[in-house]
Amino acid sequence: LLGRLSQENCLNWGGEGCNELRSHHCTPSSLAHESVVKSKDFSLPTYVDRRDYALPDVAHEKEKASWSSLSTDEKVELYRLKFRESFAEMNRGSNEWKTVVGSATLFICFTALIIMWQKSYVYGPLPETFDKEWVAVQTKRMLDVKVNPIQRLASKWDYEKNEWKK
Amino acid sequence: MAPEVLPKPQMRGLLARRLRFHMVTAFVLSLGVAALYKVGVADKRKKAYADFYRNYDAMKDFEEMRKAGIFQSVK
Repeated sequence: LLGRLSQENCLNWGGEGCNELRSHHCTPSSLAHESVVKSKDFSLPTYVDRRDYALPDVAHEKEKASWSSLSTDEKVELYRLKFRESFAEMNRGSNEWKTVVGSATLFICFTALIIMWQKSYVYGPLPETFDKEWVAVQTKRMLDVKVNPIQRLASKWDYEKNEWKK
Repeated sequence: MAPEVLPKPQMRGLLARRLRFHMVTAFVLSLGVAALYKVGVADKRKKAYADFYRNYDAMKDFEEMRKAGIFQSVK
């Protein structure tokens, strides 16, 4: 906690974003406990809880004194004044993944239903080359010309016994 | 926050540690995949071809094909 408090940096990172966008997350930390922003007070410097940016501009008098003189509660209060959420709080997981997985599966199943309907009502019959008899004659011919005799088709046929190799 | 003191986290050398981990892992995985390919695909194929041609009789093969009736020039 105190590691973040110890770095005071005057980069006005939050400032230019807020002036244009008036986005609701740019609030002074003391107001941040409520989720609704009552007033856009640009007199105070702004900050946002971000894992990769640990240098907000808010300064506090007590920090300027020696920190070992603060009690634990005062340290927590000091932290809360400066930051809205701790790392543990801001990094908390959520149950959103269940919603995502559920809705994705639902829509995929709906698509499957559409495809089944298409097979019955939209597509015409398969060409004759898919018939079992046609495929059998075609395979016999491929074995006669010895297609892929070393690794694939004909290598799996036993020419002496006239059957597939076991 | 309770009064327990957390251990100080690692503050330095984070990129170096990450790079080292990923370089080593990438090296090992690449070599592994290459070795598996050599054994499972390349050597297996070379052996299959060697075994096929060791006792291969081209004329016998031709006779089998001719009897199956696939040629137009010889019946």
